[in-house]
Amino acid sequence: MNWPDSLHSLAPWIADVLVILGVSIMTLGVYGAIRMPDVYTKLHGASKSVFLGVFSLIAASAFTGEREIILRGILIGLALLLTTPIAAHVIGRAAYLEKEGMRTPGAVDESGQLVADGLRDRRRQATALLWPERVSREEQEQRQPT
Amino acid sequence: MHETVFYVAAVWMAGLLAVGVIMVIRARTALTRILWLDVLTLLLTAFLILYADTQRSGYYLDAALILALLSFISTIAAARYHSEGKVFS
Repeated sequence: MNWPDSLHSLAPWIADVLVILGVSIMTLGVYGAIRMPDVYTKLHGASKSVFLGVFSLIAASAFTGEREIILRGILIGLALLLTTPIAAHVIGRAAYLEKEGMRTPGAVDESGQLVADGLRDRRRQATALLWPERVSREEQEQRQPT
Repeated sequence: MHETVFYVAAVWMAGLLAVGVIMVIRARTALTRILWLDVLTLLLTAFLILYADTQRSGYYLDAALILALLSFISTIAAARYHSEGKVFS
């Protein structure tokens, strides 16, 4: 490639920085997917962070300067950019259809079906802390049928 | 020096792959297992990209591309079959 000399000597260092960044982002994503309590929050770490790490590694591989690696890297990046959000959406939709409970403390569920029973009180406390008017509205809605 | 960074990153990625396999085995629900399989294929893609960089050849990236596309199809099929009982509506 016809880069100027300073850029040419700088390229491996940029590749190193991008590799370290990508590996650390992927490690954080895997740790988040282990740590998070239910499927909905696990999806954050599993889809977004890990995909960002792969994207950074692809950007690092572009600095090797070989044309076949760069072109195939662009293809992999485009394929992952299109497919990862769809896969995450399908997993989340499956969890919603199965009525998997939300185990995150303070989870606010608009459909009112997913919050696990043991955590309803903690969720109500957190909701009252954040949005007092929402709790009163929910209580009014619960009182109406009786 | 620059090669070393790539090799250390590949070894680190192999460790992340081991963690992913352990979490696939230890997953409590089937959806969590599907999610971890998705993560596992992404990690394998990243490992192949790093290995292709160290070897300076693009042939490993073909495998990475096919793995990414196949993991997409298999994740959608497994999740839809698990939730709705059928893959194609």
